[in-house]
Amino acid sequence: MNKEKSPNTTRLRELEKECAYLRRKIARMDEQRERQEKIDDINRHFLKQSNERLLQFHEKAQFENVSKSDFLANMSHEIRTPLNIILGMANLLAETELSTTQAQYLSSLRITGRQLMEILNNILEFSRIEAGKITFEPEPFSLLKIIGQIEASALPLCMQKNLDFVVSHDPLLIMERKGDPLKLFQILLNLINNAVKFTKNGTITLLIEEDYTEQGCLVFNVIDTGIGISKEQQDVIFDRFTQANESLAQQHSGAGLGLAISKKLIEAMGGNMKVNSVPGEGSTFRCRFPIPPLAPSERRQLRYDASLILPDQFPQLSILAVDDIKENLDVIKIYLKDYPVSITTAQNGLEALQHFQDGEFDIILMDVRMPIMDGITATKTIRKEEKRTGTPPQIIMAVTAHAFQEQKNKFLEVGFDGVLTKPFFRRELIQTLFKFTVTDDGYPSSPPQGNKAIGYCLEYGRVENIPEELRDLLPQLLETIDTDLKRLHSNFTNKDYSNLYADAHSLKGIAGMFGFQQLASLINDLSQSVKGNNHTIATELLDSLDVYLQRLQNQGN
Amino acid sequence: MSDDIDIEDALEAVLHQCTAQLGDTKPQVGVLFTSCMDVDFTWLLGSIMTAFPGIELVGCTTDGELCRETGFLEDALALLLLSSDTVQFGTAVATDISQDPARAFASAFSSASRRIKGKPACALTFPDGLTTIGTALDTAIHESFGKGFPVFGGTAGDHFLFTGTYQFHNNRVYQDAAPVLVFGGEVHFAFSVNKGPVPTGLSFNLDRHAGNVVYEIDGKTATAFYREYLGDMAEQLTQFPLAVYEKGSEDYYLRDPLIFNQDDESITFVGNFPDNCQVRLTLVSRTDVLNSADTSNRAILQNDKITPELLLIFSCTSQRHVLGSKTNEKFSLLNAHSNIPYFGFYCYGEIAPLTPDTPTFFHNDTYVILALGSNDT
Repeated sequence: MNKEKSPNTTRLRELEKECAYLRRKIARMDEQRERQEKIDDINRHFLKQSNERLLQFHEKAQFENVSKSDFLANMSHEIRTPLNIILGMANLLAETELSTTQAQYLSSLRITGRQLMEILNNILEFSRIEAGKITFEPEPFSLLKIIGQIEASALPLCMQKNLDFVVSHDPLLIMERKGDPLKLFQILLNLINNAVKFTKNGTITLLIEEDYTEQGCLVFNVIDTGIGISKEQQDVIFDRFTQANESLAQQHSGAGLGLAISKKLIEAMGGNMKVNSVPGEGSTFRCRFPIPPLAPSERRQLRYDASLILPDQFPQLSILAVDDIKENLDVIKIYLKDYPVSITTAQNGLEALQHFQDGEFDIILMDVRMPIMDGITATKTIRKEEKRTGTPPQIIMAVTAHAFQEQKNKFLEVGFDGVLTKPFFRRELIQTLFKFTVTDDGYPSSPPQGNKAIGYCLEYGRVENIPEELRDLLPQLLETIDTDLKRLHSNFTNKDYSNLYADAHSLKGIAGMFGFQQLASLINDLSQSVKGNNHTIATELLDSLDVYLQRLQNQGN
Repeated sequence: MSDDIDIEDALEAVLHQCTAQLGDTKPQVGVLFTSCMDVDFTWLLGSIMTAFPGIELVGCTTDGELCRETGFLEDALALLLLSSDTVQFGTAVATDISQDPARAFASAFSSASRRIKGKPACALTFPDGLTTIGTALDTAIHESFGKGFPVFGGTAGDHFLFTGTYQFHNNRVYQDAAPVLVFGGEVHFAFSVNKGPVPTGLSFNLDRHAGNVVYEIDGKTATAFYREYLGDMAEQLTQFPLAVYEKGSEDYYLRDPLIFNQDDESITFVGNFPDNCQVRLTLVSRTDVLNSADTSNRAILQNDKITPELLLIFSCTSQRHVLGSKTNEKFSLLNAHSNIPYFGFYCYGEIAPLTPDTPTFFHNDTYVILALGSNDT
C-alpha cells in the first residue's frame, strides 16, 4: 500500500488520524455513558418493583400468619374439648374401685393423655413465642406449691421407669416468691420430662438453690443419670424440633420443642440456661433467673391455695353451667359433687338466657362455642339486660378450650369476668369458683348457712350478718381458738412438733366446722412450714395467727 | 496491542512490539483477538503468519481486548505469541459447531492433540458466540474432550453489533467455528471463576422454555416478566441476567438475555436452561462486578501451587458495559501485586470449570482467570 511521504501530508494524515481516533473514543464514551445511565435506571426500577413485591409478600405472609394462628387456635379448641372429657373422665374413673389391671390400664391412659396435652401445649406455646406473643404474669406464689405440683406430675413418670425422683433445696430458702408460676412450672416440667425421657435408671433430681451472687435469683438444676449429651449435640439441643438422640427420641413422644421453649422462656425472663453433660454419665440443666422473694408482710397474703379449699370451707353456691356437650357438664357436676353447690345446666346460650331470667345464680360457667346461640352472644345479651334494668352484674366465666392470652383478653372485653381454660381439673374449677364468688374484700357473695356463717362473717368483718341464734356460741369459740393458738406457740417454742401437728389438726377441724377459712389456711401453712423445717416462716405465721385472733376478738366484741 | 485507528498502523505497531519482546526467540503459537470488525481478516492473518513463519495461529473477533501494557481497549488488535521448550502447543479448528458440536470438537481436539507429544493437559477454545447461543457447548465439550478435561476460553464477539462473529485458525477466517489450542508437556495451570451480578428479590418458576428460549416466567410471558420488573428498555435489558437455580441446589449460574422476540414475547438467552429450575433477577452493580474480579485475581495471586508465567482472562462483555470507565479497575490487583503478563478478551460467554476437578461449564457474566506456568513449585 502506498503512503504519502511529504512531511506536510504526513502531518496532515497524522492529525486526521488523531481526530478520527478521538472522535471514535468520544463516540464510545457517549455510548458507554448512555448505557450506564440506562443500567442505573433499570436497577432503580428493579429495586422499586422488587421492594413493592416483597412488601406485598410480607403483608400476605403476615395475613397468613394470622390465619395460621387462627388455625392453631381452632385446632387447639378442637383437640382440647375432647381431651378435657377424656382426662376428666379418666380422673373420675381413677376415684372408683378398680382391679389392679384396670388401674394399670387407666394409669397408662392418664399418663399418655397428659403427654398429649403437653405436646399440644408445647406446640401452641412455641407458636406464641415465635410470634412474639409471649407474656408474663408475675404474681406472688408459693414455690412449695409449684414443687408439689412438679412432684405430682413427675412422680408417675418416674415410677413408670423405676426412677427415683428427688427434690432438694436449702431449708432456709424463702418459698414465697414473685414471678410467673405457670411459666416456672412449664420450664421445670419440660426439663424433668426431658430428663426422664433420656434416663433408663437412676435418679432425677431437682435441686433449687439461692443464687447468692445476685439478689433475688434462683438456680434450678435438673440433674439426671441418663445417657448424657455429647459436646456436638449440646450445640443443637436448644434448637426447635431437635432432639439430641434421634433414635432414642423416636421411642418417646415429643415434638422436640421442650428445651427450645424452656430456653426461650428463661431468656425472656432475664435468665439463662446451661447444660453440663458427660455421655454415659448424665446431664445437668442449670437455669438461673430472677424470682425475687416476697417481703415478709406479703408472704402472709399468700392464701386461697386451692388444695386447702375443702367442701366444708366452700361457700354455698348456685351455679348455671352452660355447655352443648353433655359430658362436659357431667365432669363439672362430678367434680363438685362433694361441694355445697346446686348446679343448673343449659346446652346453649338461649337456654342459658331463659335460666338467667328465671333464677338467681352466683356464677355462670359459660361455654363459648355452642349451637343456636354461642356464649359470647349470650353474655352480651345478659350485660345489656343488666344495663337496662340496673341490676348488679352477674359473674360469668368463659369456659373454653381457646388457650391464647389474646383470646382470653377478647373474652374479657366482651363482658366475661374471667376465663377457665379447658381441659381443667377439679382443683382449678374449685379455685376459680372460690376466687370469683368471693367479693373484693374477700367476703363470699353468698354467705354460707348454718354454723359456718360465724367464721365467714367474722373473717370478713360482717359480724352483723351472723344469725341471731348463733351469736351465743361466739365467746366460747373465740376462747377455744385463743387457747389452741397458745398451745401451738408453746409446742413450737418447745420443739414439740408432734403435739403441734395434733393441735393444728384439731384447730383446723374447728375452723372447718365454723367456717373460719383464713384460720384453716394459716394453720395448714404453719404445719407445712414446720414439716419443711422452715421455722422462719413458721414464726411469721404464728405472729400472723396472733394478729388474726386479735382481729376476730375485736369483731366479736 | 494497538488501537490505532488505521488497521495497517495498528498491525505494524503490534508486530513491532512482538518482535522487540521476542528477541531471538522463535514463537510457536499465536493468539489473535480483535474488536475491529471492518477489517480484511484474511489479510490480517496472512500478514501475521508471514511475519512469524511457522507459527500456528488461533483467535477470534471480540468485544474488546486487554493486556497488561494497555489494560482494556476496544477497536484494537491484540496478539499473544507463545514459545516454550517444555510446553507443547497444538492447534486445530472445529467447524459447523452449531450443527454437530460434539463431532466438530472431537475432530478438532484429535487433530490438535496429534500435534503435541504425550497427553494433553488443557485446552483453549473460542467458539462463535452467536451461532452457538442455543448450543449446549459444555455438553459437547464433555463428549469430545472428556468430562474431566479442563477447557477454558470464551465465545467470539462482534463488538456488540450482533451481526456475525469470526474465528481464526492460521491464515483462514471462519464463522460457526471454534479454534482449539491444546497444551501438552510440562504445563501447569490454576484458575478462578466468579460471577458478577447478584440475585435479588423473589424466586420464580421458569414455567416454559425450550433450550435457550424462555417463553413463560411466573405465569407471564418472558418479555412481560422482564418489562414488569426492569422497565421497558429492551436494548439495555441484555445486561440483566437471570440467576438459574437447578432443582435442589442453592448455587446458581447466570444466563444473559439476548433477543426479545416480539412475535411470541419470548426471550432468547445466551445458553440453555435446565428443566424444573427456578430463576431470580439480578441487580447489576459496578461494585459487585469489581468484587468478583478481585476475588478471582486474589485467588490466583495467593495460589502457592503454581508460579504463573502468563494470565489469560476471559470476561463477559456485560461486565465491561457495566463498568464503563472503571473497567481497568478490574485489573488493579494484578497491576499492583505482580508483574505477570496478562492477556484476554471480552466475550459473549465464558468457558471454564467452576472449580478444579469439575466438568467444564458454559458461563455468562463471569470473570475467568487462568494462570499458566511451566514450572511446578
